[in-house]
Amino acid sequence: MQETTFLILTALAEGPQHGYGIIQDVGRISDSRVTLRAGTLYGALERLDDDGLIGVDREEIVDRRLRRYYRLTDEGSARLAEEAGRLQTSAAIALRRLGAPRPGLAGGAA
Amino acid sequence: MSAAGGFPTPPRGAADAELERRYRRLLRLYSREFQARRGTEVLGVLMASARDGQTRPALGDAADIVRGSLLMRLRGPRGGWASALALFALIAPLFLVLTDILQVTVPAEWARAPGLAERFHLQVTVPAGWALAPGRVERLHAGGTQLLSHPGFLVLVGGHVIVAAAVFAGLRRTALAALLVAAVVDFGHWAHLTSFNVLGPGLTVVLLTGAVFLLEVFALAVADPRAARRLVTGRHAVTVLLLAAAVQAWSFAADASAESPRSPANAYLVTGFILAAIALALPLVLGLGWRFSLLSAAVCYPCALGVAFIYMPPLLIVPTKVALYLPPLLVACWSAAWTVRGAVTRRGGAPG
Repeated sequence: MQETTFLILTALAEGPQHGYGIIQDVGRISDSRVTLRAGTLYGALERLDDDGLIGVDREEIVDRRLRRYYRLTDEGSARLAEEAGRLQTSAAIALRRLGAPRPGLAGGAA
Repeated sequence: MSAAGGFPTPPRGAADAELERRYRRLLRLYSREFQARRGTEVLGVLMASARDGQTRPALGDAADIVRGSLLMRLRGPRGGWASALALFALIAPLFLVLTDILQVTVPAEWARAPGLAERFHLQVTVPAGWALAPGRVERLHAGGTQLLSHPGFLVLVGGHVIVAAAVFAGLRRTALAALLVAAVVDFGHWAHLTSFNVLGPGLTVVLLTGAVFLLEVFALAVADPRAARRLVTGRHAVTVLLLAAAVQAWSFAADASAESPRSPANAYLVTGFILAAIALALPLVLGLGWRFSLLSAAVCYPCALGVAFIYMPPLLIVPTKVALYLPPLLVACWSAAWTVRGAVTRRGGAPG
């Protein structure tokens, strides 16, 4: 899973958001490291929608502009959880190897 | 219909209006379908990201839209392989019928060149036998409307028309059956022309062009052409017409140059590859997606393969054979693999 995809799904994990909301949230989640732009965002949203990972939650007209809210589908949640778990495992291994002389210390028992 | 044009413009001053106008122009890079579906929404996001008083799109945003729209066009219509294969299943028989029509409309004197018998076997769906034992074929010396009095040609055209009609009517099983019958009939016709020397040196070609025939069978087996009837556009029609014309023009050019004693055999190979490149590029340019482009190239490539075989046997050394066989072989293997995977996934239950 690409990082942009991961961040968009993460942004939607808390609840439905509209396009501009996702852009701002991705900035926050990534600590301003990733600047998501409209072209990239909508390319990703199309793909995620095709793959059934997200869906349209509702539409609103705010300030005379259309806002479409997206939400994670069950499959999207499952995929995000799986990916997050994978990243966590890899990160834990990396940190353990860097920080501790012997394996098993940083990760804690069990 | 909430089309992009009907969207009300918020009265926010001249700067915003100017910026919005420029963004709208940029968004035209996207397909019309995408613009209608998401145009106003994307515009809203772009305007929300803009600074106060900004009149020109930020360079980064503009570049991102150019890139995003290009990638989306390469990706093609929504639905991935399922819709690409469904469209292919719908379009491929049309390609054959068009090729047949073009064949008949050609003046008879053009068709006096040798190779006509072979040529009407180059028409892809039912190619089973055409490359068997090149050079042993009895020349028919018939062309244009004369072809209509040739039973072999009529059987071939009839097969194509039935397949196309069945596909458009959504009768998948009938289409499959007609396809198989047409292939058997055509193979028999070819076997007869070659005096039943069916295990001649052309057998590998038969297997390969048979792979393209299988591609249509796979497409029909996996994807429902009825679904594609909603997706098919004028651009598909343009693509299929131009490709059929290109294949015919090219094969006549090949015949004409075969008449001249000093025609360079390499030319067939080069122009054949150019034809395949056109088949690959045209759907991409028209925004039909890389999947459809790959399938259309898979249709045209064997035509190149076929004429190359008929006219340039001396060139058929191992590297040439590899160059000719590899791409269609890869496409065939891959489509078979994809078909099996698709069947497995569908059994597991597809989303939404």
